[in-house]
Amino acid sequence: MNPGATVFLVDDEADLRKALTRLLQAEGFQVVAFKSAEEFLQARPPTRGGCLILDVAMPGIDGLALQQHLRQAGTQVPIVFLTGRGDIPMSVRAFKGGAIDFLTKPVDATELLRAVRTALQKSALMQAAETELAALRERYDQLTPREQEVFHQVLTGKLNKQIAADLGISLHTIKVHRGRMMLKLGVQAVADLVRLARKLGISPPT
Amino acid sequence: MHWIIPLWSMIIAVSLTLAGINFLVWIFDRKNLSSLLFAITATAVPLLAVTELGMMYSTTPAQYGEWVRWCHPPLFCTMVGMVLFVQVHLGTGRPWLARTIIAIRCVVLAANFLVSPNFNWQEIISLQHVSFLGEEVSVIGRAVVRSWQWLPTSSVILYTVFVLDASLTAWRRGGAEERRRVVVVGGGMMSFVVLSMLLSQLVIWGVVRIPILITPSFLLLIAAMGFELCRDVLRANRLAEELRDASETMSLAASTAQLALWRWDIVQDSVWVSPQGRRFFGLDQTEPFTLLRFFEALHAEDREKTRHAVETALRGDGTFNADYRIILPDGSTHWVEARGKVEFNGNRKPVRMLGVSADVTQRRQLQDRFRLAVEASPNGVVLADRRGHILLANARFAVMFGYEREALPGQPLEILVPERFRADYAAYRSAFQAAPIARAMGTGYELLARRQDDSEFPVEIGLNPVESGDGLLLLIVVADISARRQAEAETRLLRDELAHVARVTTLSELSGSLAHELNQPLAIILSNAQAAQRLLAKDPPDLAEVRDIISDIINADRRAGEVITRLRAMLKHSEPTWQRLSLHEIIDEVLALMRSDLIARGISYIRPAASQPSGPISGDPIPLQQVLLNLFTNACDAMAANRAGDRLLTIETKLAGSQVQVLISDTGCGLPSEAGRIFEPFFTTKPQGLGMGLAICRTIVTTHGGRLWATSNPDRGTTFIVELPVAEVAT
Repeated sequence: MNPGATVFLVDDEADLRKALTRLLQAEGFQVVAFKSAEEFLQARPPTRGGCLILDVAMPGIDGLALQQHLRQAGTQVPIVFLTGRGDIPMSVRAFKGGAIDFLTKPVDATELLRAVRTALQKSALMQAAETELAALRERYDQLTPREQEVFHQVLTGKLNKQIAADLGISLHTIKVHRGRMMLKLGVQAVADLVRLARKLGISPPT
Repeated sequence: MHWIIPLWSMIIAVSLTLAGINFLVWIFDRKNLSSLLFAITATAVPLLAVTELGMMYSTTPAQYGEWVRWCHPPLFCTMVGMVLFVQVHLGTGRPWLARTIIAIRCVVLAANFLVSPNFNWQEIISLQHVSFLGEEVSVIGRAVVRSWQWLPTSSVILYTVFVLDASLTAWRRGGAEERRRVVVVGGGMMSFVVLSMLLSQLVIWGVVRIPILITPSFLLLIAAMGFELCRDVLRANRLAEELRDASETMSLAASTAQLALWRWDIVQDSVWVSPQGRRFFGLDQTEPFTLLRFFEALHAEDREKTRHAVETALRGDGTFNADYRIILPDGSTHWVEARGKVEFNGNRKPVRMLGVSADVTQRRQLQDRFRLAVEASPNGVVLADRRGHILLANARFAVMFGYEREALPGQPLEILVPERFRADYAAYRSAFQAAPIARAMGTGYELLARRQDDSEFPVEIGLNPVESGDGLLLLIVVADISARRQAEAETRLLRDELAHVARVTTLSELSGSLAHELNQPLAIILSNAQAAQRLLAKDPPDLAEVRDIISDIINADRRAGEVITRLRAMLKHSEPTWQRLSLHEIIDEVLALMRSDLIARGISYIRPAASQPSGPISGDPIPLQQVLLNLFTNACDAMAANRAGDRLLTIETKLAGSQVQVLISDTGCGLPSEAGRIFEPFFTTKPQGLGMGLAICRTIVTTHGGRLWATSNPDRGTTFIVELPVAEVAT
């Protein structure tokens, strides 16, 4: 878990907002509270590494609508839902949207904190994965077009000879490109290369 | 020309004629004594005339003296007759004067035949001849007047005084007709007296030398009496005519009023019955009618009673009153009411009975029917007199109050009033007597009546003053309303039950939201408490924050308490509590209950004019909350199909005169096509609806003296309007 992670709280009920803020702060979380979905969207706070506690039933844009909104906007943040009355279709919708948990008020601190921690862990993982991917992409971006081409050919499982024949270049030149490419990406074996490609979302050409 | 014989003959003829007429009048009307007296007087006059002629034609003093002696008897008759006539005819004249005059005349008359030649003269020495009406007649020449002559003279003077006095008394006493009669009769008498009597005294005393002329001046009296006679005849004619008119009017009135007139001649036992009456008894117009025939016509049961009434009338004061039935030849029965008066003769012997009868069959039948109707009445009916004592009571009344029916008449009405209300009753009764108009008691409030066994029951009473022949009577109609009260109570109970069921149903629809409403403060409490735990575990604990938390916990707890109280009030089956209410507060309460539901349904609401006073109303808060809850929920349902963000509920309060209105407008689907039926029970447009909501709402509003109706909005949606009377300002 990343220290200094922020919990964003959206609930129309002031007293509850205050109580939850106190609880989370007592557990050492940073809390930023909003009284409505509209206010949250307007503020557009940086949610990376943090998580969201959302009240389902709110006047105006409700919790589920906000979740949908964020997904559509591509903002990936783990969400814990709070509801006064949970029904199954509502929770299914929430989970499908990637909710961490769907908690019914009055919610016990342990449960809430566990959910928040889970969310933050997920957030941290998401953040780590994102960081790794960014590094990988950076490395990938350093490859020359020819090296990228060789990378793609290697992924298909072709031998150097076949690649050389396909690209119409000498076997030696392929070997040089391949070695430089592996060096730049920091991998030694083809298996590592395949894992890296999957992370980057690159699939071998068919 | 010799006038004396024809003139005196004429006087004799006229006097006799008048005497004859008056005598005949007396014969037919024995009570008419004045006619008899006048007849006697007028009969004496010719005799007097004869003696006068005798005196005039006397050749010797002895002859003359003899005629004078014989003129006394007729003179006596004339004078006595006239004295009595004045007394009878005018009804005046002092009796002692009359008696004195008569006494003197008796003495004179008696003495006249005891002395010679007569009472007036002691001695007639010679006669003298004078010319009178073309003839030579004898008058007194030399004579010695008897020393007793002052006696007849005084009688003449007394007579003059008597007539004058009687005339004046009659004049003073009488009206115009009486005075005229005094002038004619008194005047006639006076002229007769002055001319004849006084003149003859002067002759006797030798003051004048003319024949003694009493009779000619009697002509004046005859003329006066003749005039009287004519007037009497004319008056009799007029009276006869008036009588005929009156009798015609009477019989017309009698036949119009369906009255039979009758006259029973008791002595001859014959009954005269007017034509109308003959129809009564089924007689033809000529058939003779007797008392026996009358009794035969009576209903057998009524004969004895009627016979008794007749006998009582004949023996007693002569008043005949009887109600009886007569059986007509066609067999039909008629009720007759008869009233009569017996006439008695001087010996208190009944002579005849006059009377009138009326056919009261219709009235009797009506009375009978009325009596039957009163008897059959489901209400107690009682008739009381002015002092509030029972005269009559129907059977139902006796049963209602637990009395023997026979025991009721004569009892005061107080016995029907519970003891603790008797003072009020007395006040009420005197108020009623002061202004006896029909009025109702017990409508709109609880009026209790007392049975004989002291138990009480609620009643409604109608009081009606009845003006009758015996004074003001009181007709009281009493309705026992225990059953009605019971039914009302049951209905009210059922209605409350139904309202309660509807309330619970409405609330159960809200249950999810209500749970949320309760969860909210619970969540606040829990989270705050757990935060506090953590804060206290720290070193050092942030006590200031913990204090804050505790105060928040208390607030949240209170809020939860309020939710529960509100819910319980709505769910509880409580007695109605009527109180002064603010409509705004009721709306606030309902919105508080619905808060979560409104949020969950995505409904927003506005309350224009919420800051303005709505006017206080008086009512039971819970049912009124139920009404608004129902109407708000309906409005929300109506907008369920609207897109999110387009679900606006408007709640407006408006003061309209003495009424306050709540207008609940939605932007929903509008009223169903059968809009007129929405307030009917079991009418619903909702799949799970009972169809009781609006019907109950309307009942509740109506019991609060208000109205509930719906109108379609001009653009879309519906407005429901609750109208309630503004509570009167407490003074």
